[in-house]
Amino acid sequence: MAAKILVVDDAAFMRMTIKNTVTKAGYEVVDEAENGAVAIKKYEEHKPDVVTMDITMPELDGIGAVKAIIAKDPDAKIVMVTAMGQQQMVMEAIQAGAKDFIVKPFEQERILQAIKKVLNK
Amino acid sequence: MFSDEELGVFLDELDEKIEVISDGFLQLERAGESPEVVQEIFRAAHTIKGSSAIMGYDKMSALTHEMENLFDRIRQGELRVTSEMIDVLFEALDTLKLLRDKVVGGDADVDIDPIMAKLGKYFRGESDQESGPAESQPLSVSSGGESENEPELTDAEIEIIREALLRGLNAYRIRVILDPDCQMKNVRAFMVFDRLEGMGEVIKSEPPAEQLEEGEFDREFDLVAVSEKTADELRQKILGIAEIEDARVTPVRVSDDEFTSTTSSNAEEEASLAASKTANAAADKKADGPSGMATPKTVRTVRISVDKLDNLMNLVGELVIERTRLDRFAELMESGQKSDELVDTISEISNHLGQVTGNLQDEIMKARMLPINQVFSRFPRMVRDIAHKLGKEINLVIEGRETELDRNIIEIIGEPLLHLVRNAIDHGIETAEERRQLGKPVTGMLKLKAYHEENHIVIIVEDDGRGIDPAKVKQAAIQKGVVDAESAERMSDKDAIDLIFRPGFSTAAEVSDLSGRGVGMDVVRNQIEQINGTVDVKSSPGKGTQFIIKLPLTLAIIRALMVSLANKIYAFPLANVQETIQITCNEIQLVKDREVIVVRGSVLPLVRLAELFGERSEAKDKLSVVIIGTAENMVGVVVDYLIGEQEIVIKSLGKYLGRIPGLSGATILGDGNVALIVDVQALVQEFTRKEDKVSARAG
Amino acid sequence: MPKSLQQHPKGPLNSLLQSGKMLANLTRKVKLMSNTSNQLVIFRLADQKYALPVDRTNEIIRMVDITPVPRSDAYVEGIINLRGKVVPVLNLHRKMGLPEGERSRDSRIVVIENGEERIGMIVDGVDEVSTYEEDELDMSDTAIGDNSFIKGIIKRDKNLWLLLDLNSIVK
Repeated sequence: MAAKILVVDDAAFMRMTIKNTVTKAGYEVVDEAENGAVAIKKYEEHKPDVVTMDITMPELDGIGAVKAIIAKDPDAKIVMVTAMGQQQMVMEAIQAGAKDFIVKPFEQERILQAIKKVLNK
Repeated sequence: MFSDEELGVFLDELDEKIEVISDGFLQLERAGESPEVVQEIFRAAHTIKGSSAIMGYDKMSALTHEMENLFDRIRQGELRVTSEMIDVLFEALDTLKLLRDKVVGGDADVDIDPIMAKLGKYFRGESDQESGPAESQPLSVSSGGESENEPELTDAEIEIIREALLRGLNAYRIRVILDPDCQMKNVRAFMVFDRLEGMGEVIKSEPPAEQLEEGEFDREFDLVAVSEKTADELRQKILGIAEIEDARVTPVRVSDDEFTSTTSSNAEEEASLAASKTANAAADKKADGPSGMATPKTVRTVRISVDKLDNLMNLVGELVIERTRLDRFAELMESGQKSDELVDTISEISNHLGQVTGNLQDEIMKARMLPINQVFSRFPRMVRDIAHKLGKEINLVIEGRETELDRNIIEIIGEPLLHLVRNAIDHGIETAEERRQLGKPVTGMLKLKAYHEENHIVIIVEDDGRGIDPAKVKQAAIQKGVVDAESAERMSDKDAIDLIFRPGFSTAAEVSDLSGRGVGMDVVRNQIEQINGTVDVKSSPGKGTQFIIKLPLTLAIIRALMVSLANKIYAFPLANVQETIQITCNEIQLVKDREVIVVRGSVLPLVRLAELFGERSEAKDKLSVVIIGTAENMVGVVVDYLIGEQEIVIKSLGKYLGRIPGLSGATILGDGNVALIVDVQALVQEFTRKEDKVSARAG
Repeated sequence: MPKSLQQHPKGPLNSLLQSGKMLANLTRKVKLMSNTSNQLVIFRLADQKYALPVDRTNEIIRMVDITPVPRSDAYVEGIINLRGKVVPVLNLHRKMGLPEGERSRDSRIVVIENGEERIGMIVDGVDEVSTYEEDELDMSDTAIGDNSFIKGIIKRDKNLWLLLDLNSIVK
């Protein structure tokens, strides 16, 4: 069964790019969320295998969302999708329990590699 | 410079690639040009070029560079493979092998200029630089196993490690290598720390943590960490992080003066450390070679130093010994009439332990196994060359090349096989002309076949040539004084053909430079018997000959018959024991002043082991006799008592003692004492030669 | 005298374990000092004191059961089980043509390194681990005489130590 992925990003273009990339690689995107608060709800709803999580988003940012999700499901596999210059935030997210990260702009390979690696564990 | 281990890995891979090239050339010649084969040769040459350059073997690098260039042209369709080119290529391959031999210690200087000129001829006029696709491919040889930048440990850190080791934790050096285009390196490093902290403690990093945090490092950094996890678990954990290319985890040992009084030498520890390093490096190499390096043939392997395997095998040997002790103990308790739960429990434990050690032994044995292809793979080229030379047409068929044998046996079996193959081509298979006249297919068939049979490996060397004529063998044997006319007369055809294995016999009617090298079939048989194997021959005149070689699966652990002599214990390898019998003194007869006994119609020379070994033996009326040897060459050996069969681990007597006639090694018994292993082959030889004439006449 | 198996039901491993702290200390001392070449193990052989370079000495063990090896050289006492390895043991008295005394509680096997191999040598007792100064060592022919097993003589106060030439012994 294809692994289920929840894509969280406030930019529709970014969500589309990620969705296309992972769908082509055989994963199933179960849903999308445009901010952290929605992400938490959708995570509850779908229990996806992997979440790709943007950091800067309105309402609730990615780090807040990671904390909330991990608090309920410590095994949640969250890959941070970040931009150059957000080092500190990534580290914070990882300490909060995110399992990996990639840096925008990314090549398709990278996000796939990251997803594959978190799934393998 | 380069360690022995690195050199070992280099040589292993070199051999592997030389074989690929050799196979490739043969395929080019047989089946013509194919893109896959050309690509494979190109890649092999490229690999050798790269690694030999790193090792500093300039000539090898230059030669393979030229080969690579040539195949690049062929690959691009700029050049076609011609039969003349194939001859040049084989010449280049020979030169390459010479260069390889030089690396392992040959001292002859190899001149590569002539062959370089010949190769260069194919693309003369075109300027050729260090260029193009060749360089853009990643080198398949990693620089694994390097140790120059490993962090030095301070005394305080060593103390921590020692503490950790005492508490049963492991200490590791870890080299982490990031993807070349990894972004946010500092966060990656942070993640590695984060993961490791969850499983242990990082006690040092190089560069220091502050620099790592700032991303002030290239692609790699080193860590020292203690953890209860295994090296592989740590490695997997780190590799679970994205954009990390590799993690090399090697155990750290601290010299043990402080907490143990035993004196295991540092050299040993270093050796095992180095071995595991090589293993890791090799594993990494396979892991980071996604560029289609794995040809369909190649098996995924980890290179482990032979020393390490030997050590493992020794440890299993210890286990086997302990098991034997436990068995004996259980027996003792049972015979003590105390049949209660305790006895049952002990028997049960003993049984289970037996199963576990058995399995462990099998697994380690398997790790020592190599496919016989290691030997077989030399033959296609050799058969081609010899057949060429003799104007014969031969189709070599190889079956069961994946059959696995203990590496020690692989090392020894090559020589006798080579001899048999040479003989088959030289004397067995007729010339094309002869075959035509005989109405046989013009192309002769030579078959090498290996397969597994019970506890043995069988290797068959078979040809459809002229076969062995028993009458001619008898005649030659009489002429050479190997046998007298009278007994030759009485011999069956089978026995007559077996005469070729007698010392002093050689079937070569004319001595050719191929097999007339003074190495007779007796040497072939000797070599095979050295490794506890047997060789048999079947032949029908006009139709062909078949040599059947049976080999044990391993040499390290064997079943043996234990006997006692003057209160000391000796072991007879069971493979060479025919049977044991009890005789009374009056059954011994004297033939020409020598003691013989008659067992089921055969007259056997009798050897009193005590006399031979200078021991005082008890005078008894009933004698225990171990009958050893092969069906045609048997000897009875008188010992004091028979003890029983058991598995023993063969240990060498070492270089210092050297070869001692009549002894082939030693083993350690359940009680810790050392027992000697009787060299059955040597005994049989020593006593049947002397007795040959006697037994022939009396029989 | 070769001993039968029955006499030693516990085997040599056990006696090794029981061999006490002195031996362990001595062996450790040997190990600790093994960086330097002027360290010597001093042992007794037929009432004479001999010296052996520490860096060739692997360990010193108590006497264990020795399995004689028939058809080997007369000075080969036999082989022993040294923690799973088979190690040959030499009879130094016989090798050097010295009178053989009784084995005693003091008798030891000094295990030396010879290339990759280990070789044991029976001595009448091990006294100490010591050092020597260059000027205490006399390597002249007049001091050594025609004894090919001796490399030199070390004089220290009233003591006289004969420095063993290991290479000629294990040749």
